Amino acid sequence: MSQSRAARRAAFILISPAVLLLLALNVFPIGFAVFISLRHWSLSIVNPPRFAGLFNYQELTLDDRFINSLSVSATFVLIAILAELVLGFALAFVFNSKLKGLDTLRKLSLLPVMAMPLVVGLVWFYMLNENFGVINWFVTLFGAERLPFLTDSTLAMLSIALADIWQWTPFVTLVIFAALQSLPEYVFEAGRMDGLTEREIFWRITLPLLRPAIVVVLIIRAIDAVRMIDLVFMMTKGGPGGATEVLPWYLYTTGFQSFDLGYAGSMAVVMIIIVTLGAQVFVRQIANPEKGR
Amino acid sequence: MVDITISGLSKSFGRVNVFDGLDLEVKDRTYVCLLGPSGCGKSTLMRIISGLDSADRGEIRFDGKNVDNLTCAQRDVGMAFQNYALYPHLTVEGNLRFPLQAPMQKGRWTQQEMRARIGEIADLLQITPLLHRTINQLSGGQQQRVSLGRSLIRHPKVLLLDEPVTHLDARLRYAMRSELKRIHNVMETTTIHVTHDQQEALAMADLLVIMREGRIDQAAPAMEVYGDPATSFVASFLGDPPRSLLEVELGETSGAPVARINGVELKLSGKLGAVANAAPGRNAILALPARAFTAAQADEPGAVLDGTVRAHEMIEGAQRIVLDVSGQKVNLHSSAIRHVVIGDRLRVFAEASDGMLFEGATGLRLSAN
Repeated sequence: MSQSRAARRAAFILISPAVLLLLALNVFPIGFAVFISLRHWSLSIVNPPRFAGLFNYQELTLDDRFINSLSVSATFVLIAILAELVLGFALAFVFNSKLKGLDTLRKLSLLPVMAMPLVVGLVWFYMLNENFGVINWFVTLFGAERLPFLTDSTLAMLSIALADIWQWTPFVTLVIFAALQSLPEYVFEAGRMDGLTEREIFWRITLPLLRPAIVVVLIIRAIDAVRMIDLVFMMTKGGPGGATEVLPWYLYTTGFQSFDLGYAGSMAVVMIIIVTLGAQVFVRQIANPEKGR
Repeated sequence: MVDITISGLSKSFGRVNVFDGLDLEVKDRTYVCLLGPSGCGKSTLMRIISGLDSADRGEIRFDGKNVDNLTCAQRDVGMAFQNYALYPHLTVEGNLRFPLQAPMQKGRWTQQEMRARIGEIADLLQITPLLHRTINQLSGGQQQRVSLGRSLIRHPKVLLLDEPVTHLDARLRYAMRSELKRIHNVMETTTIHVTHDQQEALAMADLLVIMREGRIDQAAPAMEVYGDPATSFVASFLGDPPRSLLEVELGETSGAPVARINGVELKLSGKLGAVANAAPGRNAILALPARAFTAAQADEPGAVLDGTVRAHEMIEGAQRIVLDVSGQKVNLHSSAIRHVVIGDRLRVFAEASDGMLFEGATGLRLSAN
């Protein structure tokens, strides 16, 4: 009896540092965000914060700018993730073929991932500048008009997506490539033995076996893309006319430029809920992959 | 349901020559065992027959038709891989169904026929209760059955088995031997079974093919290979414990043929004597079974070989000793047990009447005529 109690105490002591860190860095901030979101809490007025119930949340449902930021975020996530997956996948297959020189290329291809997102945003901001950016210089070389990359609402969204794709495609490639390398050769031989064509092997063997890797990379990239703020901050500041105002950017300006902490807090809580629910869907996909057909 | 003819087959990986000019003839519905030490090229030969690899030169014909340019599926071969190679993302049933849904099979099977075929194979292999399990829920033996089932499901003309029972425990391995033969008979296939286990090969083969370093040393019915080996390698490879090979010099002492080992003479009587007399050269290899040797007491006269004990073990009440006789390995097997330690000197008698003689340079069997 006493021994099991001692063992339990030892267990508690051993896990306590991790639990404390988790409490301090994850649970407390989330709890505090909920606490703020239930209050009128503005730094620009002298009144002390007071309880507001669900007022802030009710406001959100009526706020066109908030609804817009949700749809902008969704658009960005869709464009970026889709392009990154398709490109990353294709590159992974290219790298997987045994061509000479690809090894070096593969190592170099990881460089964008290592760059700081703010710097990436800055570089693309200059490159895409309408008047003196290098990309428009190329455009004029071909005799076309300069394009308003960051000031046209459609182009601005695509530009930010482009910067994100440039930075994160190599990551997708890396994960898929690693998964491809770990696929057992014999399964493909069995496929050939069973009379499958190369295309059939891809659809019926390779793809199903890559599924866990695809789901993982999708979750990581989706969560990252929902949180993305650096590129918007450096390239468009949410403009033109809210065309690139993603949720984190609206949240940031509400909280730290308009100093309406209570309202920003309610947005943060909504964002956490969206990300958590979204991730759950994917995680369940990994946990219970569909049974064989 | 097909004759297989292999002629002049050559294959090399980079600078490594796996085999050069290989010939083999396999009759319809034969159970062939390819036996040889690791790296002798038996697996490569099978992969070329299957169509997974292609040969550099030479050709393979099924029923007289060249199949070099046909894919595995077009050749209508089924293969059970050494590591099972099951599709990990499918259930047992999914794995069995897979070959029936390949593009080449499109339209050949209705859903009902597929179910019937899967049921039939599952019954044959006794895996019906497992059909809805996923692959990682199966034991090695079960996976092996599923793998076999997948190779059989299309009723292939040729069945290729790559070390199909190697990963099973001894009891299951033994049971699977008769199982495999039964399946072979029911399915009426031509079966090629690769193994490095001589007992398995001797027990199962209609045609036993002994390979060494990319050559076929002998291809014959199992008992013929065992009792009448064509080369010294075959003689030393089969048998448990294997026959000992002794390098000898043939000669005559007062008109009687003898074999000299390290200056000691061993009388060759009867047929063996006639063989020795007819031998073209003086250097030969004498293969003797383990029971031809008996250990001598300390200073008993007449012992011919003097060696050092390299290893010894007890198996089923008998003693086995591996003796080093000036660099040549001699296997002893006797039920008279004596105490030995590794490094002991041991003198043995040798009885040559059950021996066989092989040409020294080539290792080919010597005969009287």
